[in-house]
Order: sequence, then structure tokens, then C-alpha cells
Amino acid sequence: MTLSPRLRVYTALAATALIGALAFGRPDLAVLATPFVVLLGAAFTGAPLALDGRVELERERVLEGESVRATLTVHNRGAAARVGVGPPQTERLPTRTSSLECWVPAGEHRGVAFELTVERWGLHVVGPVAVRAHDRLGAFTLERTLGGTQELRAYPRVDRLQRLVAPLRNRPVLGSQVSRERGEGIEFADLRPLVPGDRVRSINWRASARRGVPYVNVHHPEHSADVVLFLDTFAEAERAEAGTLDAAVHAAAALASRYLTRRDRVALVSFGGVVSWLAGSPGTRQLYRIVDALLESHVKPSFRWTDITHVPGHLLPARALVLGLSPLLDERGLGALLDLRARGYDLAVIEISPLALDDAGSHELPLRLWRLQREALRARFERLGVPVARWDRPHTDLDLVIEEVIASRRHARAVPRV
Amino acid sequence: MAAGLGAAAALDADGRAAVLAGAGAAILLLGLGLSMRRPAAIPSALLVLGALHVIPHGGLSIGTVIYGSGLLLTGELAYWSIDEHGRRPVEPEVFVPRLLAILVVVGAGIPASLAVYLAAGVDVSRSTASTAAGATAIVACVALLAAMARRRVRV
Repeated sequence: MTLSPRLRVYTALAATALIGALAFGRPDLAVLATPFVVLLGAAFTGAPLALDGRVELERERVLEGESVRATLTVHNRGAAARVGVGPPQTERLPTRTSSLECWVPAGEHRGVAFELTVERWGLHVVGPVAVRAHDRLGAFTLERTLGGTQELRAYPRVDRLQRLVAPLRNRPVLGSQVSRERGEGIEFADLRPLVPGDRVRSINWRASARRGVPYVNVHHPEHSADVVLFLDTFAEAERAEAGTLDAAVHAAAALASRYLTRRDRVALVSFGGVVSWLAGSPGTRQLYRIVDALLESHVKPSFRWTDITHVPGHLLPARALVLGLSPLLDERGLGALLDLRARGYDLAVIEISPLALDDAGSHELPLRLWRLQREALRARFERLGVPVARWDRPHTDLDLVIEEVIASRRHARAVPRV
Repeated sequence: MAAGLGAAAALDADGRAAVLAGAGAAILLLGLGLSMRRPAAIPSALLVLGALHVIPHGGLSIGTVIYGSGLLLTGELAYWSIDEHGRRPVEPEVFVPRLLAILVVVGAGIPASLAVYLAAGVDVSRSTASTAAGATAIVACVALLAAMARRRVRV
């Protein structure tokens, strides 16, 4: 607690007047000083200031762009006080509600609410709240923080994708992806002569009548696929709140949501200064796990060499489609993608273009040279049969980028594994 | 308040013009301090107003009892107006408790001043012992207030 400077002034004035009264024999000085002494006595003999509080969030999970109310409940355990409450201390959670001063009687509670706007996905820590309290006379001031911290999970808004990149190979498990193999299914594949064991309902009577020999329909079965979302978190380019990692997280969430809806098995590998992963699994619960893992994605600078051998083998099934989401800025990320291709994985890369964040103008020589370098890098991937589609978010929709990848893979074949 | 105190000081004073000039200076000092948000001007203005009452008058008068509380009220209102400058949004009921507390303390100062006034009227001959007792009482009073303040600040 701090003492108001004016009390020191009153003490000095009163002492001066009393000493003057004694020294010059002027009792009127003592009479003038008396009210100041009374005020000092009243200020120092009152109950001390004591506040407690807690911060509560309206809800712990929100979507990007939504607002959430944070309420600070102040409990006055000491003297009645004038309490000034500031907005909760948060990063990247602006509030329209300004700070407020209110009167809190002794022993009572008072709630002050703030509207926080969640502008960006991620794990946000809300609180504590800075408060400043004054006693009734304004003689003492108490400044402290109240309420501790609360965790707020802001999930990215997911765009609904119209089409998805189909893997070259599927798992032998029932799913929604039309497989290239032949078997029981809905999608017609071919005709073949009847062999012992075929079902009668598979017979194509028209073809059989034309050929005089029983023929059966063969279909493409619907299988599920293994998809690995490979997030490059070695480096990012960002401007203000927008960056390549932000775009990559949105893309990963949209792709995971869509693939899991199709009953595919989706895994997540965050490959960067910190390597983290989530094993593949189908279902809605896996979507929540992936989104929760994405919330903790961040670029952590590291000079340690990391390659694909640091990722456990069971996370990268042999038939998996690996979708790389990368700004193609760091050699280690590029090396990992090329290594995956060399090992025979079905790989496609979505380049999160950092050029969309640059405003230097295309006439700048360094920028032109950098663009040429990136073109050469893209060509290197394409020579190896890896389609690379550039995503200039927010100027381009992710759907168009997926279409570009699908078009590039139209004549793709599975590469024999090394 | 300052103008009222200056007028009150001039009423009974012998050199009315000088007192009014002093009151004007105190009011100007206070006004400049409030407009420029300088709390340092307030004790100076209070000293000037106090001197305007004490110096021209020959001795103790009953008006001194009210004048002291008036000085305190002037100081409190002046400091309060500076405190409120630039403050964040405030609920209206915040002002009432402090205003009431100031009025209560100022009001309590009147009977306390009256007690001192009556005690000053007791005929006690001036001696070294009485002067020493008075000085000791002043020092003890200030020391007690300082100790109470220090204990509160540490809490």
C-alpha cells in the first residue's frame, strides 16, 4: 500500500503550525492545525485495504472471431474502497470495454465484465487483472493483480472444402474413398467371366446374354485412406497477425475435418524446432485432438539439424498420402519433404506462399531473384513427381489450390518404395 | 473556498487591502495549481491563507475554529479535483463516500479545534518545563502518526 502524498503535506503543515504555536506563543496556530491532525488520525486508524478476486470466462472454447466475456469478481475483505479495474492482461485479445472505477463496500463482492474479441486462433491466457483501490478518504492506495490466469482455447474457423486430394493407395478397410482396386463396391470397374464363388447378383445378364457366357460386374471398393498432414514449423513469414503458420494451421484444420468426415485416418506431424506428432486415427475425436494439437503450433527457432528419421516410423504408414504444408523457407523442412519422396511416399505439397505478405513491389531486384529461386525449388519438386501448389492466402481459396494438386496428380503413379 | 477564507480573513484585519491582496495571490496560486495539475501549489496556497488569518490578528478568536476546518476543506477539495483528472470511467456512486468522509472529518475538526481553543484559554504561566512538555507532545504526536502510517503502508 502507498500513502497519499497529501498526508505528508498535512503532517508537515500541522507540525509547522504546532511548533510555531509553541515557539511564538500563538495558540491560534495550534487551533488551525487541529483539523489536519484530526484528518490524519482518521486516515491512519481506519481498517486497511484488502482485496481478493477471481477471473471467470464465459466459456473456455471459442471460435476465431467470436467474443467471450471475462468477469472479474472482486471480494473486499478490508475497508470500503473505491476500486479501479483494468482489462484482463492478455495478448492478442483486444477488448472494447474500457477500465472502470466502482465503489465496493466492506465485505461485499462486485463483478466487472469485459468483452474480449478473439482475433486469432491459439491458446490464450487471460488474466490476471490489475486493480487499484483507494480508501474512503483517498489516503491509501493499494495496487495489485487479482484473479490468476484462465486458459482460453480459440479454434480456427475451418473452410469447408469441396474436393480432396485422393491418395494413390488405400487401406484395406471400409471407407468412403473409391479405391483403384477391384472388389465389392458401388462404383463400376469392369466385367469379367464368372468364376466359382461369385455371387449370383453380380452377374451382368445383358453382357452374359450377348457373349453367351456368364459375366459378372466388378466394382471399385470404397476404402479408407491414411493421410498425414505434415506441418513445417521451422520458419514462418508473418506480418502483424497474419503469417504462413497461421495459413498452414487453417489449411491443416480444414483438411483434417474433411478427411475425417470421409472416415479416413488422419495423422499430424509438426516438424520444426520442436517435433511433435499425433498418431493417425479416424473419427470426430481425432479432429478435436488434431485441432488441440494445432493450437499449440508455433515456430521455435532452432539450429539443430532435424530430419525425417526423428519421426517414428508408425506415424508414416507405407500407403499414406502425405500432404506437406510448408512455406518452403527452411532447408531442413525441404530436406524432410524430399526425403519422404525418396522413400517412396505419396507426397503432395501445398506451398504457403510468403510472397503474399510482401509489399516491396515486383520491380525490386532482390524480390525478383527470390521469386526465381522459389520457382527453381518448385521445379525441383515437380521433377521428382511431387505436385506443388502455391497458396496466396487470402487472395486465393484453398479449394482452388486443392484442385491444382488434383490436376497435377491426374497421371501420377505410385513410386516403388526404396 | 479560498475566496471565502480570504474574505473572512480580511473582515477583521487591520490592513484590509494587504490581506485582500494576499488572498488574491493565494487564490491565483491555487487556481494555477489546479489548472496545471500541480499538487505542489496547494500547500503553498494553504500556508498563505493560514498566514493571512494569523498575522494580521492580534490573538486567538472564535473564528479561528471555523477557519482551520475551512483550510482543511479547501485543501481536500483541491487535492481531490487533481486526483480525478484523467481518471478512467467512473460510476456515479463513487463520489459520495469520499465527499461524506471529507465533510465528516471537517465537521469533527470543529469540536476538536474548539477544545484546543478552550484549552488555550486556560491561564498557564510560560516556563521551560511547560515549553518542553509542549515540544515533547508535538514530537510524540508526529511520531505516533508516522508509526501508524508506516504500519499501514507495510500491510
